[in-house]
Amino acid sequence: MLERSDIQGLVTSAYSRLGHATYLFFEIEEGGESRARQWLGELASTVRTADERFREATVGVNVALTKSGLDHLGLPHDALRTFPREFRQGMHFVDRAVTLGDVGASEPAHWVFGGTKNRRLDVAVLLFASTQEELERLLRPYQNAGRLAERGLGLVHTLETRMLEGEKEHFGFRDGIAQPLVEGFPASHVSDDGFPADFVGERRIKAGEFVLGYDNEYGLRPHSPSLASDDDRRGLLHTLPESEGTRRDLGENGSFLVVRQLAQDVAGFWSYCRRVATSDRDARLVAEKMVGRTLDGLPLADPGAGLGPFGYAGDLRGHGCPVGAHVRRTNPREALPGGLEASLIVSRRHRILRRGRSYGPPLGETTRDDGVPRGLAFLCVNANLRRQFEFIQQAWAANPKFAELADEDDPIIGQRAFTRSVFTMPGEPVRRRVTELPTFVTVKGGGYFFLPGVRVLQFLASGDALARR
Amino acid sequence: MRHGALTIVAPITPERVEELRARLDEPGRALRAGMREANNPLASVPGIHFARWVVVPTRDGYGPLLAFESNFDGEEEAHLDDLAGLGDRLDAFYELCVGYPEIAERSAATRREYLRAHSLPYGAWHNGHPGLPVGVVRSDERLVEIIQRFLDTNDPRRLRSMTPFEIRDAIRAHVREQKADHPELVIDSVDRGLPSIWSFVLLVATLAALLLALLGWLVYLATPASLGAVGALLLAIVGVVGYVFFLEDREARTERRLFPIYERAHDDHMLEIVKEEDNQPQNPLSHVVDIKEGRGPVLGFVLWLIELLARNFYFRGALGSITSIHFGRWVLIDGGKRLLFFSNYDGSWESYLGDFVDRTSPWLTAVWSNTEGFPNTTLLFFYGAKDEGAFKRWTRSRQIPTQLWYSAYPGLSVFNVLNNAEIREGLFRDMTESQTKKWLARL
Repeated sequence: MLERSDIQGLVTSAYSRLGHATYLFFEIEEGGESRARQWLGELASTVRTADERFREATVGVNVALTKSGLDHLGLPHDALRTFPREFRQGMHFVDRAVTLGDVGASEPAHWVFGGTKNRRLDVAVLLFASTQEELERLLRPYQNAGRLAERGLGLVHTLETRMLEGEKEHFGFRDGIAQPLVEGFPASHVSDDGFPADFVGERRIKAGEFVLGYDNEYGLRPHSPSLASDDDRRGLLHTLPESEGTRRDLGENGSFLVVRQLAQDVAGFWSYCRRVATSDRDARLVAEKMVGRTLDGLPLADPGAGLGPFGYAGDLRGHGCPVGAHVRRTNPREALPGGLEASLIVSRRHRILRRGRSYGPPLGETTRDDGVPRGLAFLCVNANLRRQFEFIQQAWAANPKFAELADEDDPIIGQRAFTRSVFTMPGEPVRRRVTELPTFVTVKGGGYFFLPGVRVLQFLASGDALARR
Repeated sequence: MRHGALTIVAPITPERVEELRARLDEPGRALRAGMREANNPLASVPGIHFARWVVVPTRDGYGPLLAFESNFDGEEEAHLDDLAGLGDRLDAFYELCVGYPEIAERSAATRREYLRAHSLPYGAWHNGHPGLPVGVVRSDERLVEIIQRFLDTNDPRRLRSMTPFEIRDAIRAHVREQKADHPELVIDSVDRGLPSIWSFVLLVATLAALLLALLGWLVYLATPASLGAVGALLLAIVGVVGYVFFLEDREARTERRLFPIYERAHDDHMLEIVKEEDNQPQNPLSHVVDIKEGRGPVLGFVLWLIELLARNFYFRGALGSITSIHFGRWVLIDGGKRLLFFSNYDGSWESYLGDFVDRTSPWLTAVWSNTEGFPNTTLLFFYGAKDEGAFKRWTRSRQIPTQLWYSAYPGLSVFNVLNNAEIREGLFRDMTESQTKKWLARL
C-alpha cells in the first residue's frame, strides 16, 4: 500500500488538469543556509502530495533538491555518499555526457542553466495551476530579489511552460500518450501504457520502479539513501528495514527527477523532411516514420489501436513503425530481439514517468525559423537514474546498434554522436533510408534532482542532522 | 578459418607496476581516442580480432600480474611468432615482468619462449562469429556500405516500383563494378568451417546410449557385483548433486551479506573503470575473482560443459541468451585459486549487465556461484544474477581497469558481423523470390 500522503504529487500525476506551470531553480546562498531551511520547512507543509484530498485542488507545488542542495541544507557527508553516483555527480558530469549523448551543441559547457559554467542548482520549485492568475499568485513570493535573499535563495533560472493546442509538442505531434500504469497509483492520474493484458498477466508496473521504499520489477526494494540513526535525533524518520536499526531511510516515498530543457528546431525539422521527401505528403510520412506515430498520435505499428494500448508483435520487421523510430526506441515493448515475452520483461524494467511540457510559442509546420526559443521542458520521474532514464538514453536512444540496427541513433532526440546520421525505414521490396540527418533537439540545461517524501523534506528542513558537520 | 584464443599471464616485478601501467595507458588512451595505429603494437600483428593487456593489481596476497588475451585467425604457433616479432615493443611491457630475458639474451626465440611459458589454457571460450577472418569481416563492412550507398542514390519511388529480383540484379551489377576498382573486396562465399549441430547431437546421443547400455547390461547380469555397480553409480551421482546443494545450503546459512549502505563499489575504483568504458558501440570487461574454497572441481566441470556447448552449439552469435559478446573467456589463474573473465561486448556496461539479469543466464550463474561474494544462488545455476543491485555491485567490485584494448572492427556489433556476412553470402547465390526478399530485408 503506497503512503500517498507522503509522496509528492508529481510522482503519480502529470497534473494535466493544471494547464499552467513554471519551474524555478535556486541556489542556496552562502550564509543563507538556515533561512533556506526555514523557508523549505514552510514550503514542505504546502507541498501537493498524491493524497486523495488534493484531487480537486487547482494548484500544485512540488520541490526537489540536487546533491549540492542537500549538502547546503546540512546533510552529513556520510549520508550524501549513500545517494547513487549519477545523482551525486550530476547530469553535467564529464562521463555522463558520453552516457547521455550530450555532445556537440548539447555539451554541458554550452548549457544556459545547470552544466559546468553556470551557477549552482540547489533547489527546484515546480509550480502548477489551473489558471494563469493562480500561477501568478504562486509565483509572487519568488519575484522579489530582496525577499528571496531573506530566504537565503538566489534565482538561477526560470522555465515557463506552455501547453500547446491539441496536446501537441512543437514538431506538431500529439504527445504524452503512453505512460506506464503503476501499481497503487491513482488510476485517474495516468493513461494506459499499452501492454496487452494477456501477455504479461499483470499490466501494472511495480511502484518500486518510481517510488523508493516499495518492491520494483525485480521483486526487490530499490536501493535507498540513508542516514546514521544517531543523526536523526528526534526520530523523525523511519528505520531502513534492511539495516537492522543502524540507518534511517532518506529515500522513503521519494524519487529521482530528471530535468532537461530540450530546444527543438522546428523549422529545421520540417525543412529536412521536405528536402528528403518526394512530395509534401511524403514529408509528413517521413516525419511520422521518425517519430513512430502519426501527427494525431496513432501508432504506426498498429494505427487501428487508436490512442489506446498497442504492441509491436504484428510489426516486428518495422514496416509500419521503423525499428529505429523514436517511440519504439524509448519504449520497445515486444520489439527487442530475443522473443516477445523476454522483450516485455526487459522493457518493463526501463521505464520512466514523463512529466514534460512544452515551452515557447508554437511555430507550426513551417520551414522558416523565427529565432524564438522553443522546445520541451522535459521532466521525468524514476527510482533508478542509471537503470531507467540513463539506460533509455544510452542503450536505446543513442545506441547505433539498437535492436540489430547498423549505425543510426534516435532520429528525433539523437545527437549523431557515434553514428553516420542516417535513418532506415524498413519496407518492401527494400528499405528506404534518409541520410545526413541534422540534430533537431539540443540540450540547453538541466540536472538530476531528488524528489523527497514529505517527511524527509521536513527532516531536511529541520536541520537536525547538522550536528555532525 | 579457425580462430584461436591465447592467454598469457606473467608476474610483474612489484615495484614496476606503476611504470608498466603508464606504458600501457599511453597507447591505450590513443586507441580509445580513435588513433588506431599510433604506438599500438597490436595493429601490426596480423589476424587479431580483439586483444588486450591488463594489469591485475595486487590483492589479498596475490602479486601483480600482466594478463594478455588475443582472439586471432589461424594457428597459435604462427600467432606466437607474430607476437615475438614485435621485438622491443613487446619488451617495453614484459621487461617489467619477472623472469623476462635480459637485453643481451633477447631474440625472437627467447621472447617466444617466455610468452609460451606463461600461456594458460582457457577454461571456456565463447566466440560470437567463428570462422570469419578479420580481413573478411572488414571487407564485409565495406561491401555492405557500398550496397547501402548505392541504394541511397536511387529515388525511393523507383525502388518501390522494382521487383526484388530487379533490385538484387542492380546491386549485383554495382558490386561487380566496384570489385573491378577494388580487387581486395571479398564478394565470394567464405567457408567458415562451422561444426554441424548434428555431430553434437550424435555425440550426446552416443554417450547417453552407451551409459544406458552399460546400466542395462549390469542390471541384466543381475549378479550381486553388477547390481552393486549400478547402485554405486547412482549413489555417486546423488552424492555429487547432494554435495553441491549442501555447499549452497551451508553458504546460505553461514554467509551474512553486508548490508549495502552505498549503492556501488568504491568511487575511485569506479571512476578509473568507467573512464575506459561506455564508448559506443563496443567495450571490454576485465574481471578477477577468488574461487570459493573447495569449489575448484565443480567450477571445472561447469566450465568444461560450457566449453563443450560453446564449441558445438553456441557458435551462431549467442552464448545462451546473451547475444552481445564477440569473444569471452574464463581462465583459471594463480594455480586455480582465482578466476579471470575477459569479454569483448557490444553496447554499454549497464545494458550488458542488464542482459545477464533480465535474460536469465543460468550458465553465467553456474560459473560465478563458485566464486567469492557472488549473490546467493539457488541450486548453483539459478537466481544469483537476479538480484540486480547485488549482481552489479559484485561485478563492479571485482572489475579491473583495462589499460590497452584493441578491436579490429570497433564499429560492428556481433549482429552486424554476422548479418554483413549473410549479405555477402547471398549476393551471388541463386535464390527464390521469398529468399531474395529476406535477403533484401537484411539491408
